[in-house]
Amino acid sequence: MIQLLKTEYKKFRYNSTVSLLFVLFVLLLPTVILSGKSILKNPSPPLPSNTIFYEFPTVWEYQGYVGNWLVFFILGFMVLHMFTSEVSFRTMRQNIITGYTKKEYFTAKLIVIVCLALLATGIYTISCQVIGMIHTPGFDFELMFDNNWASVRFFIMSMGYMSFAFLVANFLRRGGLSMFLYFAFALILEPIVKGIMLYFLKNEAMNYLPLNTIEDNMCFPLFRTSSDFIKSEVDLEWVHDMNVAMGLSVVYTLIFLWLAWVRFKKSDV
Amino acid sequence: MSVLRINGLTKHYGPITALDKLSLNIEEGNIYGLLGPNGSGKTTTLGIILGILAQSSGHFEWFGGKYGDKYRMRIGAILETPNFYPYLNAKKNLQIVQDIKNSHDDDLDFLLENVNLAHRKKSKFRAYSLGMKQRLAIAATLIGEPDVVIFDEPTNGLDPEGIAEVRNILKRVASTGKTVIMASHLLDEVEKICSHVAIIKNGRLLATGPVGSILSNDVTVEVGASDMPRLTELFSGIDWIHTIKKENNIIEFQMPEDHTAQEINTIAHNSGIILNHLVCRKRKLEEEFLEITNN
Repeated sequence: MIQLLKTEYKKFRYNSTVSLLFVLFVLLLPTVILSGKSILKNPSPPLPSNTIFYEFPTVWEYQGYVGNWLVFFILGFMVLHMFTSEVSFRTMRQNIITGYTKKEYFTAKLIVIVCLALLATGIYTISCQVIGMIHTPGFDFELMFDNNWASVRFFIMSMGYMSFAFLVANFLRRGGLSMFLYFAFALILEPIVKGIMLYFLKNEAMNYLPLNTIEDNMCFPLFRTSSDFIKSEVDLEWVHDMNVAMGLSVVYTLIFLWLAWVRFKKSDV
Repeated sequence: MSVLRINGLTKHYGPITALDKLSLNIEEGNIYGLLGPNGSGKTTTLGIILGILAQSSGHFEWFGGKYGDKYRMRIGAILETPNFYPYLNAKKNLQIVQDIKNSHDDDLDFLLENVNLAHRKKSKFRAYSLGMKQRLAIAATLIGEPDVVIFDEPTNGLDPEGIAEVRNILKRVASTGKTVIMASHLLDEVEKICSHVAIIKNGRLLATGPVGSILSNDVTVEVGASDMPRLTELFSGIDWIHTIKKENNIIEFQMPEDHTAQEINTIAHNSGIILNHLVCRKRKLEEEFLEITNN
């Protein structure tokens, strides 16, 4: 396992796209939320003030929401690139010819996804703690960890997005097409389906769509309290309960990975 | 000992049959040439036995099944084009091959020296010429001291200098006693290097065996004279002469090796024909190949 990871590191250590995306993620995660200091000096109600973004415990949710988008766009793109570039360079095929079994090749990519998710979660956790410590008045050590399993949710969310990207890359294999489908599914197709389901069913079934479920691990924090202040024509919850989101995301992730493996195992390389 | 046993291998791409019940047996130490026109199924065969294509039916077994599904660890192979990470240099690319092969004792500098790439070992793969890429691929096949090396058209697309360089490297590899499987269009080279050949067309095996058994014992003869119609008529009437072809100012035919040039000259002389061209040569693999594939 360690050897597979080392080899993947050697493959992508000097890949400029991967390096650029990783640096972008590390820089943007804390800076996006800190930029709120100057951009959102006087936020509109129901936000009391912009300090809610930086103080414990809410920093975990707001920073998590920023991370949600960054993981989806940047790390999802990175996984697509890491898989499809190996197809276009024909190095995937060569790796198998050289000696990897299909299982080893697949496992190597899976380990990279798990490590990326762990790394992203680590960066998220550290950035939340540093931002929270600096901005929370009357700092209490216990506050640092009062986060409703935020790090675990962030990890599950990261695994979910990246596994979906891996599945799409595995099925389509072509860089441009995979990226189009990945973004189009999440940003166009699923929202349309969600809208149709809401219009016709008028219940929470729409929340069970896969990427919506994964997003609900780190959704926009005000969505969780939306029913308190939004007069909706339909009486329903807009987001999953955290535990439901976590459990369902794990199930979706396993389904994505299983489908990716079945496709990879059966197809020619 | 049998290194590779292929039995009834078939591959369909939709309605097209790329490989049709191919069976082969390659023994340890064979230098095996896989010959066939473009689209004959050579690369498909290599793709299947290297585990990157799934066969429709039939089976194959490497090393008597000794290494299970890890048999590729004992094989070094190039299939079609050299495939490396374009943003990595030669040495870093070879290190990845080492990792996959789990072989860390190779002297990469020596390997690169061996394929004349030592001076460019720090250049990125994308900056290499096609000849350099092919040479790097050959170096990669030798990592981990494989028992078998497979080359698929190793000189495709190279200029004459590149072909000569790769040819010399292949000869060196072939002389080390490894089992070599080579798909190639360079029939002259195959004839010189290979101990065995298999000729494939439209996915079917047309002929296989030691090079000597594929080459017929016939001799090719070229003759020319000022009176070509009479010359043609003369040799057409001799029963041990066959496959007569007329080309410009000479005629070419086949005769058994127990007949000699002197005999041909005497026959012409006795008929009052003075030959101005007479060449006798052994049949080349290329001629056998063309005859087998055209039939």
